Amino acid sequence: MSPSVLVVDDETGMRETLVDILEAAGYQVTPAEDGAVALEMARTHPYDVIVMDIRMPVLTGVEVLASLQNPPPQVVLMTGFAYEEQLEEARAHNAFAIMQKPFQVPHLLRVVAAAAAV
Amino acid sequence: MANTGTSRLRWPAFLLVFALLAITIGAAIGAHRANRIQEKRLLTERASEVALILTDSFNSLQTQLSTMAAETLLNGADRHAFLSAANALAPASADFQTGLARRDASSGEIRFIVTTGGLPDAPAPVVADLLARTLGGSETGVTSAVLSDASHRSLALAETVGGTGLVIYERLPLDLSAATKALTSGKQFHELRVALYAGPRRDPQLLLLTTNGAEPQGGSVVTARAPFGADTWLVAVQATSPLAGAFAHQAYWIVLGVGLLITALVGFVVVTLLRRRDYAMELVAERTEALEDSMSELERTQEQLVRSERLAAIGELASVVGHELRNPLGVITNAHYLLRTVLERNQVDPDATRHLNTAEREVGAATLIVGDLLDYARARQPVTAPVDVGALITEIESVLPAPPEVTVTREEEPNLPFVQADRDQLRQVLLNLLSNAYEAVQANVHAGAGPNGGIVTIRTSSNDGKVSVDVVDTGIGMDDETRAQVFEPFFSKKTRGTGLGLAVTRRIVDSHGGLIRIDSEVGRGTTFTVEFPAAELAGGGVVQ
Repeated sequence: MSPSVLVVDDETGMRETLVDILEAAGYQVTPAEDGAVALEMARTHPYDVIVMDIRMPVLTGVEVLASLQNPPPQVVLMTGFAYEEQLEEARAHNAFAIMQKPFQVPHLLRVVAAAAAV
Repeated sequence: MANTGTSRLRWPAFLLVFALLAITIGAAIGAHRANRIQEKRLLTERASEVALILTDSFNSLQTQLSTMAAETLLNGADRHAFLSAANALAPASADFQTGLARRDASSGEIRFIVTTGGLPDAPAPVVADLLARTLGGSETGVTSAVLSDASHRSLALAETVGGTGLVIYERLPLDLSAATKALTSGKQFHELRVALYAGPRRDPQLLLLTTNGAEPQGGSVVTARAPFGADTWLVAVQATSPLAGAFAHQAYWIVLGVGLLITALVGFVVVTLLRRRDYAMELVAERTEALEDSMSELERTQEQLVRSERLAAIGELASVVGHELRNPLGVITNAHYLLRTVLERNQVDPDATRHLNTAEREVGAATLIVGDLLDYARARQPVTAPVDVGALITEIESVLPAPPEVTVTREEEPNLPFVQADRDQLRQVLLNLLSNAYEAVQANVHAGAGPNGGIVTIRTSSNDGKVSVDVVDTGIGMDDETRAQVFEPFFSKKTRGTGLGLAVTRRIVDSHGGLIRIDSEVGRGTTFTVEFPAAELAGGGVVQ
């Protein structure tokens, strides 16, 4: 069974392209449009990997990361811009990787594959 | 400026002093002349007074002789009567002689008919002259002469006895005590030297008396006539001390002294004022200059402040724009990826792939621009470690291949020390310099410099704990104006580019405590030199 990935981004373009890319790469992909929805979904379904933007309305990616229950999935955070404190907090909560937008797609695929293999 | 103002005042000031000096000397000369005139006037007055006094003191002699003449006339020229009258005046002696004479009708000679005091009948020539003058004179009154022999001087007087043709003669010793006493008793004559002459001339033969020892001599002698009987005597007067008083006599010296003192004081005040003025003007000039310096310093500071505030605002804007662009760039990148997979799957027109390549390249360029903006907006402190510059340059050459118009040569110092630097930041610096050098050469080629393109030389060297990298191009070069602005943020001569590359480069070099230099000439090319500190080993050596 292929690994499940939750893609969280409030921006439709980014969310939809990521879903297509990851599905094409063979993952079971579920989209979520904000942090609160993502947190609710993660509670009911044990995803293997969450690919999530940091800067979002309602809950930020880092806040979602901090609220995830055990056993938490591996989280790959994406950011166009983040404050240093947010990055430190993300590292403190064992984010698997932090990727700066715009990233090269093959690089993302390598990172997600590595996260799914954990 | 100060000197001009002072020299304008200096001449009037000196003229004032010179004028005061001239006035002083003029006043002194005037005072001296007035004093001399006053002296002369006073002396003339004194001389008249002296003449009166002396005439007065000799008047008794005239009276005596006139009385004898009158008695002789009354007695009918009787010899005995004459003798008794003569003896009554004074006992006859060699010093006091009298006689009664008449002109002999046949011989015409004048002879004494009666004498006292041993006076010979035939008169001496001087006496004969006196008697002849007396008899021949038209005026009545006593005539006089001074008789002198080896030891004596005496006064001879003669007077006619009515119309009898007789003449009375008297010779008397010069008893000048009365006259002298009269002169010396008056306080006003103390300062006079007086001489009395029994005649109208200042003739030593006629000298009757002198006071204060000697005959008046020199130019300051005043004379006055003293009528005596039928004759005119002369008084000569000279002052032995100033008649107008010592103060008046010294007045011109006082005027001169006071004037010179005032001149000196005025001169001193003028010089002092001029010096103070000079000093004040120098001070004003100095302060003005200092003020101007402060003002321009203030202006510079203000300019810098405005500029740094402006740059901060621009930086903030760059940061916001950069971050906001990253999301769409990310989406475009993802979309390109998906598009490429679709194209590969469906074997469509190869032009579609070419266009996709173009789009991907431009997104890459946009991503680099965003990176520049964010690098500039967010200065990062370098995290340094020893870096092998040679290896880094090799890596950069592979990332940024030289365009076809450019030939790259490397001149490396063997065993070059490592530099102590943030590798990513040093990489960015060298990337910027190399990319600029390529573009400068390309611009030169496109400007028609020649078909052979140009050369970019990367040269490394070390000296005194520093490692230098020169990036030398044979490109278009820069003029002075461009060179002065090339590190300014958003300054660019290129058609594409944010104008942030060299601003970021310089900031990175500065944050490493390094140096960046430009040597450039329009048409010949540019050399950028960056210098970084060499990395040190724990033992104090240098990492190589």
